[in-house]
Amino acid sequence: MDHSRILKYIFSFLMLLGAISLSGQNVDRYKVALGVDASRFVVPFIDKGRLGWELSADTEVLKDMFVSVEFGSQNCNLTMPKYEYTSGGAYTRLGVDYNYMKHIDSESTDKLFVGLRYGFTSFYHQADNLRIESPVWGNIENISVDRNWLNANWMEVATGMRAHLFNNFYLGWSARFRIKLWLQNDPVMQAYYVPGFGRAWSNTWVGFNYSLYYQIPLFKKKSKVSE
Amino acid sequence: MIEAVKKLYQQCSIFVCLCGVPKQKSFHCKLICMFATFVKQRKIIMIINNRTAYRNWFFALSIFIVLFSSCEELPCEYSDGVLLNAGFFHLEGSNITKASIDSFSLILLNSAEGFYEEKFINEVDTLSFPLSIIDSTTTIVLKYKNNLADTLIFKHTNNLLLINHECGFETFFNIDTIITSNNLIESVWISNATVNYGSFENIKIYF
Repeated sequence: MDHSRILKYIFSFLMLLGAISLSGQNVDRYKVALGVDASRFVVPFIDKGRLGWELSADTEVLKDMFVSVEFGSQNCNLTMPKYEYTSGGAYTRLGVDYNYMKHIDSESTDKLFVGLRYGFTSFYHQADNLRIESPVWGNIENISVDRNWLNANWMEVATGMRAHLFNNFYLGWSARFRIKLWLQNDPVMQAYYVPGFGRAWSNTWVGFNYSLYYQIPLFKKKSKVSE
Repeated sequence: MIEAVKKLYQQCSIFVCLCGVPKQKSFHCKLICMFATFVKQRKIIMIINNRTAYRNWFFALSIFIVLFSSCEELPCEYSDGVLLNAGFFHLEGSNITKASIDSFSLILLNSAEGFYEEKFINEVDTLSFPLSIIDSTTTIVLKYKNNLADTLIFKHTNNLLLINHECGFETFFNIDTIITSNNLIESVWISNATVNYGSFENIKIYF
């Protein structure tokens, strides 16, 4: 799945969000919050060789119910004495959140939420200059594994909060517990890292986002004329 | 405005705290770091609500305890590497019992030096050896004390896996078929075709 197709799906999903919002319950303004994940800029310092970005958008479609879409890309480039490994790809997550902040403070514009996500990705991986050592069979050197494209999908349970800063800016974090549903098998070389999910060998993974949001008011509901 | 700056400062300090969590090597250090982070986060909730949302704090903390329990790494390397593990059994009619063999040699053909031999003097009921990383066929010979011998040919699929940055790649195997002679060996059964780290049994050899 290439980037342009994923962007088309996201645009269609956002249009669907707008349509659902228009048919939703009474709100003064229909708002969409656009976010950028700041934690992606820290990842290269923690896990060297990995670089990526992530954007998100969500809107309230029913009272305290939000529909969310996240889109990102992740690359992994490792150059070591015994191997060179490259992987990369784009991922998308679609989901819903429930905001339970209103049960604590009905006037608050902040968000404490739990939610579910469905994620999917298409990514490639390849390796060059591999050296495999064996005291019995001898060493084999300069192995190359051709680029191969793989697909994967997973489910997530999300929880987090979003605090209102000023004007339309929000800042918040979310923690994710991911469960792998399916990963395409490569008969030559197993995948190392699945973009958007985590390490390929594990069936579950923990993720974390820390995002800055900007809330865009889209449509203003027509006010009734008082009698 | 002052409140917004306060919130921004609190959120940034949480961000700095959380950046330190993955660097902690042990699970307990991670937990302590997360605990400290949530103490700070609770202040945010108090600023928002003017109330102490303890239940949210405990809820979130318990979630993180569960979440971090799934953070594990594959071992860098086992001291023995990736080995095929075989168990010896004796089949009499419908009865299966463990079998032991002593004074035999395991010979790996086409190894790096052409010929790799390991001798067993004492009785053993299991056998472990590495499959070939350079070929999809491994041929072994079991040479017994009475000058008899059996040859086993393993046809397998080799699969590379990047363990982690430091360890590099390892070769795992999937056994496709096994062809055996029948001098002392009656039959061979594949109990677990995936050969990777660990001591779980891959094949049963019936004598």
